[in-house]
Amino acid sequence: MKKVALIGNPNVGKSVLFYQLTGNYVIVANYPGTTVEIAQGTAQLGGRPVIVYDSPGMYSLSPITEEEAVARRFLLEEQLDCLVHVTDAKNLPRMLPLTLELLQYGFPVILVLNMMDEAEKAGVRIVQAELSRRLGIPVVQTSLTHGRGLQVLKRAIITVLNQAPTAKRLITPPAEADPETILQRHHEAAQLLHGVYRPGPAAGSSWLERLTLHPVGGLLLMFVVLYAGLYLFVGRFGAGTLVDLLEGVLLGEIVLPAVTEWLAHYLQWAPLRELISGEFGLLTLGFRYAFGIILPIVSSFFFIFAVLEDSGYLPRLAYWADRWLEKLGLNGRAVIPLTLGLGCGTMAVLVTRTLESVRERVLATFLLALAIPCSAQLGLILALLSPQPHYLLVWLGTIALMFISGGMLAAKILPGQRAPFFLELPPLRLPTLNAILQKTFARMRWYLQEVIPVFLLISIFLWLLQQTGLLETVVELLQPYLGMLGLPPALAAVFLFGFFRRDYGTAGLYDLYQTGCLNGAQLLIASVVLTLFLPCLAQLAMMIRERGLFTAVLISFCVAVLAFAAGLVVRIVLGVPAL
Amino acid sequence: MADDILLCDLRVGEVGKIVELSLTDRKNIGKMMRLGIIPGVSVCLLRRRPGFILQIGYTKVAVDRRLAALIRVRRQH
Repeated sequence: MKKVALIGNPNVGKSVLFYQLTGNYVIVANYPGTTVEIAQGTAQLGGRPVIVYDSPGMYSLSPITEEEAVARRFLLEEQLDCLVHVTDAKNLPRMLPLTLELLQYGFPVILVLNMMDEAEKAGVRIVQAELSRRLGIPVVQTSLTHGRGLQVLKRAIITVLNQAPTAKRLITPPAEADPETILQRHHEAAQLLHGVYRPGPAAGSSWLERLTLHPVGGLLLMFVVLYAGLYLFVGRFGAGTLVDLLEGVLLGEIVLPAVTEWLAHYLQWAPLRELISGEFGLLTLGFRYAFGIILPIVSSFFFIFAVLEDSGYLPRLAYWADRWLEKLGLNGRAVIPLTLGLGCGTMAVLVTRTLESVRERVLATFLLALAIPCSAQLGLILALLSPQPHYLLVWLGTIALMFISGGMLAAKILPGQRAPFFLELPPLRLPTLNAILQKTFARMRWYLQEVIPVFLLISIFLWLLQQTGLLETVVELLQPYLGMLGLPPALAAVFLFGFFRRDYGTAGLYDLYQTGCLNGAQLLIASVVLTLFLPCLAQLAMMIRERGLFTAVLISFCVAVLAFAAGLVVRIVLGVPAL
Repeated sequence: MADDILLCDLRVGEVGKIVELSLTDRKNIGKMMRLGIIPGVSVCLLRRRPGFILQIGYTKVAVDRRLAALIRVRRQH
């Protein structure tokens, strides 16, 4: 099969094109031996299937970032029949150097001038035919989010694919970018664009754009966005309304009672019945938690996150947070994994790859393990504690304190300096519902693939523990520690769940509180400890994969100690008696 | 030249033409250059607080003080 790769700077619409060409059919392939994912899909072009790759954002074949190094390896090793270089038309002068570089090394390239609508609005004029003649390659103007130019682009790709394959490349681009070469390519690009590209009148900023960057207004807006997005949408709507509907009404009142009753009639062997619909049953625990509680919360978070991503707000958040994150040894860019961690910590640990130094990745991984509750936890804790707002505030204060002090301490202990902060702020755009839903579903699919098997395994594991009587032993082992925290023994199972999946542990907490086993203060202590406690099994596995066994175990140990200590302090301050 | 100053010494709203990039930090200079921050280009300083924001053509870039101090500009009136 012929192979087409989409390449270009970050934020120019590669992924939109990828979805449009492949019809959402995405396999996230782990490119051999490396760390960054390259998406792969199949498109129908000219009546035959063609493999399409979506590569991470790159500026040059000579890499500076790790993502670029992966893109470079991919481009050099894979025999590609066509490279589609996607650019932001209005910024052509700084994007054309990559086109020139690709041509210099003999790649078959199509240049896509995307976001033509924005360029036209800004008054940019581009003489496409002349540009195509000067470069000697097809140039296509598109506005992909509106579907404009897609058919022309497809025909251009087909034409390139039908040509005889180009000669093998002989020279390999240098492995490191040097400023002199970059400067020279920019000059070449400027010469080539002379009389072909004309910028419009000086770029202005919209009032919203100015507000997001305003020293006071931007800060206020940040709080509004976090309050509305996290508290109202994820906490109230996702963890409240959606969970009530799915878990309370659909599963709790209709599906599960019917199945349990049916099983009671037709399944005689009690242990098997327990396995399916008992206390830790596959259906009653695994399936109900996964689909009834966790999924609605996590998907509402992914929805909000996609809105923030597509609107271009996240880089502004990074700009705002840079000053503060500096104190934690981090860089503004860490906002992206840390915010994503409020959705799913496991996914966030994966995303720490976008940070520059190993030190920053370790610091971010530590903070994600310690003080960033995932959306399932956050949603449930908000729902559990909001009837007593003072407890909610204590919880929030404790977690924030742990985040700041833990982060500052870790930054002091780990040697090194933070990488300088440097980030492009893309224009604010009104996101399209379609793109947001696609992103949300793609992340949900990832989450389901990663999460459902773990949930079911945990159910089986706990069932085994229960059947063999080991559960009681483990509970007894945990009891003295729980007693020191002033918590009843019934919580041991919850903490056990918490070790396997912390969101899952919170769901158990929710159950216990519903049955009246905990009073308000105990609920608060348990919430604090569970939030800070060891990351879930899936996150631990990801930490080991990304940071190595030693670092992952060390982080987990520190986190466990800190979580217990924080719980103890909260108990003493609140005056709750030890049990 | 008397008018040559560091980018971080521009006032908000002022425009400067880049005359020199300090090559003491080649890696980060390389990154900035790829976004079009190259000698001969005009930049406008949009914000100084909480961090520096530059406008180059249609591109806005946020940088911290350390990086802003690597760029030498000539103030344009």
